Formats: sequence, C-alpha cells, structure tokens
Amino acid sequence: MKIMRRDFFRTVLVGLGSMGLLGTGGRIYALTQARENTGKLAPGCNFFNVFQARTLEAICEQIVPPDGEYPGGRGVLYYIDNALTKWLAHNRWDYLAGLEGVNESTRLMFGKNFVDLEWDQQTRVLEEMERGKAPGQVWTRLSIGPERENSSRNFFNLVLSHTMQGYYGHPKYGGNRDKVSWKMIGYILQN
Amino acid sequence: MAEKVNAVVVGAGAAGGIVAKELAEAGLRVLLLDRGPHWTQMDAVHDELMGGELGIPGSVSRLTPEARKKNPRAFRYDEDSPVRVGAIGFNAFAVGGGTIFYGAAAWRSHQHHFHMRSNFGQPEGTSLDDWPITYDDLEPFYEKAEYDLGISGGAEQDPFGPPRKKPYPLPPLPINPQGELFKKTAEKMGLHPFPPPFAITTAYYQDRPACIRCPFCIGHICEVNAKSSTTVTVIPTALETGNCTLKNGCFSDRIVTDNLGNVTGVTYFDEEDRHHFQEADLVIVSANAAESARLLLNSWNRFFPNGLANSSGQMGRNIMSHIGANSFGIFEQEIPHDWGPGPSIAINDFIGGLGGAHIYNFYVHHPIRFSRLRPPGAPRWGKAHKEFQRKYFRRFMQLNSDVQDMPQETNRVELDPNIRDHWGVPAVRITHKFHPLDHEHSEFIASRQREILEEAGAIKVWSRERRRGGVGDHQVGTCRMGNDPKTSVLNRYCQSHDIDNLFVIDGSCFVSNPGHNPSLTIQAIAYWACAYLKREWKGGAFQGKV
Repeated sequence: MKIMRRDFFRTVLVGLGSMGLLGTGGRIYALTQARENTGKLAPGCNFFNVFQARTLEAICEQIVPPDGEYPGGRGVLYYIDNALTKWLAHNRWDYLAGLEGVNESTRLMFGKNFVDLEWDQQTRVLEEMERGKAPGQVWTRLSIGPERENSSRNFFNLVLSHTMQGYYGHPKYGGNRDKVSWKMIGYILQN
Repeated sequence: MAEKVNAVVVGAGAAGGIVAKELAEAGLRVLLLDRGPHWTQMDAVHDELMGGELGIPGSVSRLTPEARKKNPRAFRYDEDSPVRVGAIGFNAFAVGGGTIFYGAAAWRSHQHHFHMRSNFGQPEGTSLDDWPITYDDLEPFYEKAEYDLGISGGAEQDPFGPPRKKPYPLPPLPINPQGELFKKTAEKMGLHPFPPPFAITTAYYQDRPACIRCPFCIGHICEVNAKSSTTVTVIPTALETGNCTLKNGCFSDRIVTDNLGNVTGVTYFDEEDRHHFQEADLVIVSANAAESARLLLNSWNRFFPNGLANSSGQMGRNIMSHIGANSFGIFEQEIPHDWGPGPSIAINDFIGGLGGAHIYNFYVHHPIRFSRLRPPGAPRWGKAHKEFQRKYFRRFMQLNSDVQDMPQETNRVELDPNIRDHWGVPAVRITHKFHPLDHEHSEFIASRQREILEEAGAIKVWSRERRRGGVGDHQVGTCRMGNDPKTSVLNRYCQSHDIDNLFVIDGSCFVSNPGHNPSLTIQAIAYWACAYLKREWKGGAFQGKV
C-alpha cells in the first residue's frame, strides 16, 4: 500500500476490507482512530482501495446518471481520488468514514452493500442520506462536517459537491474525460 | 533591526497600495507589508476549479490547506448562536487584496449615501449615522482614483449618477447579448439602462492592454493586467520611486507604543516565523474591517486595555457587508454568455432610499457553479438535474444587486477567547446577523429583478434564498469615522482620535455601506486621507490634528 505523506497523527490499522471481524462498536472505534487507509489500491487510484472505489463509483453514477450519448459520473472516482491526495486532503477521513457509513446504511435498509443494490434502491439510500435520515451508527456517532445529529447529509453534500467538480471541471484534474460534459452543455470557448 | 521608516503600511490591498504610492511619491520612506503571496499575471489560470472563486483550498484565489490551518477564524450569528470555526472566509489573502481577484466593479457612492441618518432617521436596532464627509469632499478624489488606476465607464448615460467634473478616462466595456436583452427590456419598462463602471481597461492605458473579454474575470487573476488591481498600478509606481519596500508573507501581529502612548512601529512575523520590529513615525493600518480591528484589538496596552485607540468602545463594532439580492431566469432561446467580464448593463433607478441598490446582469457563469443554480425545490442531482444543466446552461441569466446591511453595534469583531492562530494571536470572532430591514430591502430589489426577468421573457424566474448573516467580501466598518471621539474611532481623515500618528485607511472607516460595491469609495478615501497626511506631515513623528 502506498504510504501517504502524513504528519504527526498515530496510525492504527483499520480492517475496512474485513468488516466481518469487527462488531459495530469495534468498527466505529477503529474509524475514530483511522488516519490511513488499508487494503489493496484500486487500479488507477492512489488512495481508495478496491471496495471503496467500487462503492464511490456507484454513488457518482447515481449523482450524474448516464443518459443517451452522455456518460454517467462513475469516472469522477478518479477526480476525487486525485483530489484527496492534494487539495482535498483534509477530506480523506470523511471519505473513509462516509463510505463505511453508506454501506452500513444499505445493509440496514436492504441487507446488502451499496454496489449490490438495484438502481432504484441505491437512489433511495442516497435520498435518505440527503435528508439526513440514513440509518446507522456511523452517522450518529461520527461527525463528518459541521456538528449535526445525523451526518449522512454532510457526507452526501460533500460527495455531491466533489462529483460536480469532477464531472464539469477541467479534464486535467481526473474527471470529464475528453471534455464530454463541456460538449454536452455547449461550454464552447473551452473546446 | 531594520532601519526606521517614516511610514509602515499594514496591508497591500485596495487602499494600502494607494497609501504606499502617495506617501512614497511625497518623499516618505515607506514599508508596505502584506501577509499573503504576491501573485502576478503569470499565475492566472483559465480554469473554473483552480483559478477562480469556488473556494477550493489551494486554488489560486484561496488559502492553501496549510494557510487555512494557520489562519483560523470564528463566526456566530449572534450571542445565542454557536460559534463555528473555519478559516478566513471569502476574503483575498494576497498582495493587491481583493483587487487582484475581484470583479472590478468601480462605483462612486451617491450623495445620499453619506447622509443616511439625516435622510432616513436611525431605524431601531441600528447605529445608522451620517458620515463626517460628503460626496463633494470626495469628488476630486474619486476622479483621481479613476485616472490613477484606469476606470472605464459610461457615466453620462446614467441619469441617476452622482455629479462629476470629468468623464471616465476610458470608454465603457462593450455590450454583450445578455446586456442587449436587459437593455431592451429595461427601456420597455421605462427604466434607464447604462454601461456600469469597472476597474478594467478598455483601451491601452498606462502601459497595460485592453481587456480581452475572457470569461474568467471575477475570482481570477487577470492574465493581461487589464484588471486595474493595485498590484499592476499603484504598487509598482510606489516601488519605482525608490522610497518604498514591499514585503509579503509578513503577518503583522501588534502595533507597538511607547511609554507616552504614541505609536512607534509594528512587529511582524516573516515567512520563516522570525519576529521583527519595524520602527516608524507613522503606522497606517490597511488590512480592512475584520483584520484591521483585530490588529488594533490585539495591540491593547495599559493606556488602551480594550484595544489600541479604542477609547470610544466602537472598535470592531458596526461591521457590515451586503445582504445582496440575486435573481435568475431561464429562457426558451439561447442568450450566449461567453465573453467577459459579464456585466454590461446596469440600472440605478432603484438606488435611492434606505435600501436602494444598482441592478446589473452578472458575470459569466461556468459549469460547476451553474450545477448549483437551480429553482427552489428542483433536484440537486440525478437525471433531471443533468437535463437542466444541458438544456439551460446557454439559456440562463442572473441579475445581481449589492443591497446594503444596516450597521448594528452588536455586529462586531472581537478577539476570540479560545482560538489562536499559528503565531499565537487570537483569531477574529465575527458576530453578524442581518437586520429585519435588510431582508425587506433585499426582497424589494429581488422583486424588481424578477419583474425585469419576466418582462424579458423568462419561462421561469426565482431569487436566491437570503443568508441569515455573515460577512465576506464587501466588508466595511469596525473603525467608523466621525467628528465625535466618544462615538467614533477615526476622524474624517481616517486618523485615530486617540493617537495622532495612527491611521486606519481602508474600508474600516465606513459609517454605512452604500448599495454599490465599496472598493472605489475605499480607494477615493485613501487618496483623500493621504492628501491630508501629505499636507500635515512635517517629518518625524506626526504632529498634526484636524
């Protein structure tokens, strides 16, 4: 695993890929200590492991769905991954905890992980998060963003904001490959 | 220890750059300090994400993540609200201050803006008052600012504009399709459209080329130096005199006084965190509103236990910005908005009254920002959101106004009791909430904007939800000027009532905030205050008084 530049925080291993080994309390404790990621890096990524990458991809695809000739947002994964190693580095922990929280919610709602749900089920989960009502201890015991009772809304807003940045931003940052979104909307001076 | 200078200016922004130039040209030895980086046209990025105003940490216009950690700031709406800690908000942090990134609107305030209390009384819960100066006092200095910096406009076409002796040195920016639609609609409604003024060149001026009308204006560094920032106008002139030194990356933490209570200089930290003392005859604070008040509050001593030069108790109080009004319309037909800066038509028909403001069409919108602009209740993601983005990106218009907020004593800047920055200096804690009247005024202007968009043929029109409070850009107040030392911090020349050789020359002196962007007024006041300083300074410690 690539060792990321980190300052003075202690590093504690978090077995995110092996969730079955820890009870909920153990997972939450481990998350509060987490400052580094674990697991095999997803191809093309410098931060997310395979499971996180597949989950985030699916979320981004929901936020900007594919339609007709225009692709969905799944490729924004690479923008977010890139940004988390640089200008969004302060959000790394939010993503570690948030993606964990998403899957806890989906397992409570449908008994499966996010990537294994039907399209409409995924939409449902994200809508609950947007309302700040997604179930799960991660959301109520950990605060992502400003203090709130249920921080699923904060995490949703974070991913929404980053997805729009990646999908509609300059391709050099990792998203919007071939300037597809710019062609779609007629952002003509940039083509 | 560095050699003594005649003047140290803290903050190389809209006003600080002018002060440095005026004093250096008059023969004073000046040290100009700024804590931010020194960006130039080589740093311009034609990129919405990294070049502009989205607030991405590390983007050119914003603090890097490291700088954010070093410069915390606290905010609460009022004493009953929780305190939120973040970093320095929507304020520039660079040599040139806001002028390096701003949209460069360059309005003169109107005559009534200086006599708000005489004209409208003092509404309950506000500290609205008259200025100790009039528009007529400032008129020659508005002119000086316009010619010195390079302001373009078409004032003769504005029937509501304040009187002026000379036209703008540069003709106005050309109209664009949005402006054409606004102009046609306004004329149909009996309103009086005209091209608004900007600190942007429209022809060769003082060795700078004309604006190339790229869409990356507001929030971006100008790559051709057409934006008349202080970094490409007065600051280079100040340096060329040989009398001025600019030091950036230097954070001033304290103003130093002697045993008699006179100011003797400032201390500051350089980029390696080494602490320096700079001795000076005069200290001029130009860090604007929140940060100027902070420096003065942090410079308390036994003569001034509540903050340096704060015998009135008004230091830090009455901070204002603009509650603003913004309305949006989507249309059947395309209204291309590809060439910048964007605003090309304004109306001043609603500038009068207590909460008046200009209305103009807005800067060019880019895709990421546009993804956040939706009617109330519209989906923020998903298929419908994407369709809206595709369909309306080129069929969209925004009208914008800077509706002022009333000064309130409770809206103030203090030193936070708990949070300190990287250098151990207490962070700013801003308490700010808009007055009920501000909401009324904003709604009035928003209604006028919606009427115009409907008349222009928009198929759907909506206004932005108003904020509850918060001061970012357009912030003024905290050291209000006045004739009475008991109720004001500065006299009419931005000189401290309490200490002769201490000046605060920036937007902190504002008594009320006009319904226009405040920058050109700040700059006119800088020239006005410097005219007094140059007249009165006799070498050595400052002896003059109003």
